[in-house]
Amino acid sequence: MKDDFLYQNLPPLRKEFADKLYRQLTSKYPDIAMSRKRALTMNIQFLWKFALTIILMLFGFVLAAPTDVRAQVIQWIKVVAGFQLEERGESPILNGGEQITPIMTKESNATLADLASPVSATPTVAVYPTTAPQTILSNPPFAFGLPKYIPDGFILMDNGAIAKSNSWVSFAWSSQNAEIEMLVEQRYTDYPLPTGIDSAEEIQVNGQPALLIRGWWDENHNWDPTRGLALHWKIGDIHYRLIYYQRSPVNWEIEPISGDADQVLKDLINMAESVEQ
Amino acid sequence: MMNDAINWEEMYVSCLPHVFHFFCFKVGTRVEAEELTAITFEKAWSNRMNYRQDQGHINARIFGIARKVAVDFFRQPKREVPLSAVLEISDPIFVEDDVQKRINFDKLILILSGLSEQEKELIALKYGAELTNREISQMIGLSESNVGTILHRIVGKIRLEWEK
Repeated sequence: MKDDFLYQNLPPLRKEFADKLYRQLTSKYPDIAMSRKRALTMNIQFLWKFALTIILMLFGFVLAAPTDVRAQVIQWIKVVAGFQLEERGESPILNGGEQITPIMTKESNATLADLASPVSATPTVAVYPTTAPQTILSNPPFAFGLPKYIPDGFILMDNGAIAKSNSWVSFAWSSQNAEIEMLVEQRYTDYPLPTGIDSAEEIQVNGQPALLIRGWWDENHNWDPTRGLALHWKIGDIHYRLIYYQRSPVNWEIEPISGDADQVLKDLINMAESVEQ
Repeated sequence: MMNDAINWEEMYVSCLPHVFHFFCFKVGTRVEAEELTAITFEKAWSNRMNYRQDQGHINARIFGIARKVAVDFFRQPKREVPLSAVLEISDPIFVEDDVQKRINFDKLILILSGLSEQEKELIALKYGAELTNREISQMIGLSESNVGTILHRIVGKIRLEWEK
C-alpha cells in the first residue's frame, strides 16, 4: 500500500513550541516524586483534619442533641460485620482529575495502613516499591494465608507490595480485562472504611460475618455501585480484603463490571473461603 | 507503583510529534494542533503518578487523553480562530522552508474532509499518531484485521483523490 504521502506532508513540529511546552510542564509540575509526596501529605493531613473535625462534631452533638435525633444521626457511621464504615457520596480524596485506584495506588494503602497503625501516631509519607510475591512469601512479615482457589484466567502478578511498617502486604491477580487485588493487614484497628451510601452489606465467609462493598468512585468522585466489588473479612486478628475491578484499556480508568457480577462475587467468596492461615 | 523508572523526558520527545500530527489530521491547522497537543500533555503530565512503565500503556493513556481532548474541541459550540492561525500562511517556517509541504497538507486535509468521522479517526491514529493496527484496534474496539482492511480501503480512496 503506497501511503508515504500521508506521512510526508504533515507540518513539522516546531522546536520552539516543543521547548516552550516542555519548560511549562516541568516548571508547573517540577518533580514527580515531590508532587506525589506533596499530594500524599495533603491527603493525609486532610484525612486527619477530617477525622478530628468529625470527632469534635460528634462530641458536641452527643452533648447537645435530643436522644431521638442523636440515634438517627449516629446511624451515619455504620458498623457492618465488625468493620466501621464511613458512608459518603463523594470520594474522600479529591485532588486531581483521575480515579484513585483501590490497591494499585500503593500510597492509598500506605495512608490507610499508617492511619490505622497504632504505632504510627504521626503518619509518614512512604512510597512502596513493588515486590515479587515470592520475595514476600519467603520472608513474610507476619503469618497469613493465600487463597488456594483462583478464578479461571487469573494469573498472579509480579507487583506485590509490602508495607515499610510490615503491617500489610498485597498481591494482585490479573486476567485479560480484570484484576483482583488482595490486601492482608496484620490487624484491623477499627478505622472507618470510606464507602458509598448504602453500598455495604454483611455476607458470610466460611460461616463468619464478612463485609461486601459494591462499587467504587467514578472519575467525578461519585460512588458508582457497579464499579467493582470488595470483600473484607477477618481470620483471627488478620484483616483480609479482596477487590475485583475492571479497567478501560483506553484510559485505564476503573469501569463498571461488564460481565456477570454475581459470578464475580461467587469467585471472590470462593477465594476468601480457600484462604488457610 | 511502577512509574518511577519512566523517563518522562524521553517519553515527551518520542510522543510529542505523534500527538501533534494526530491533531494535525484531526483539526487541520497547525495552531490548533499545537494548542490541543499542549492540553493533552498537560493532562498527561499532571497525572504521571498513575502510569505504568510499559510504552504500550503510556501510548494508550496519552492517545486516550488526546482523543477526549479532540472530542471536547469539536463539542465547543463556537470556535474562535486565533489571529495567528489566520496569519499562519505567513509563518516563516512554511514560507521559507516548505511551502510545497504546506500546500500538500492543505490538499490532504481537503481530501480528508470528505471522509466519515471514523475514517478520519483511523487515519489520524495510523498516520498522525503512528500507532500499530493492534494498538488502534484496542483503542477503538475493532478487530486488528478489521482495522487493517478499513485503512487499506481508505488509503486507496485518498490516493485516488491525491493523484488527480
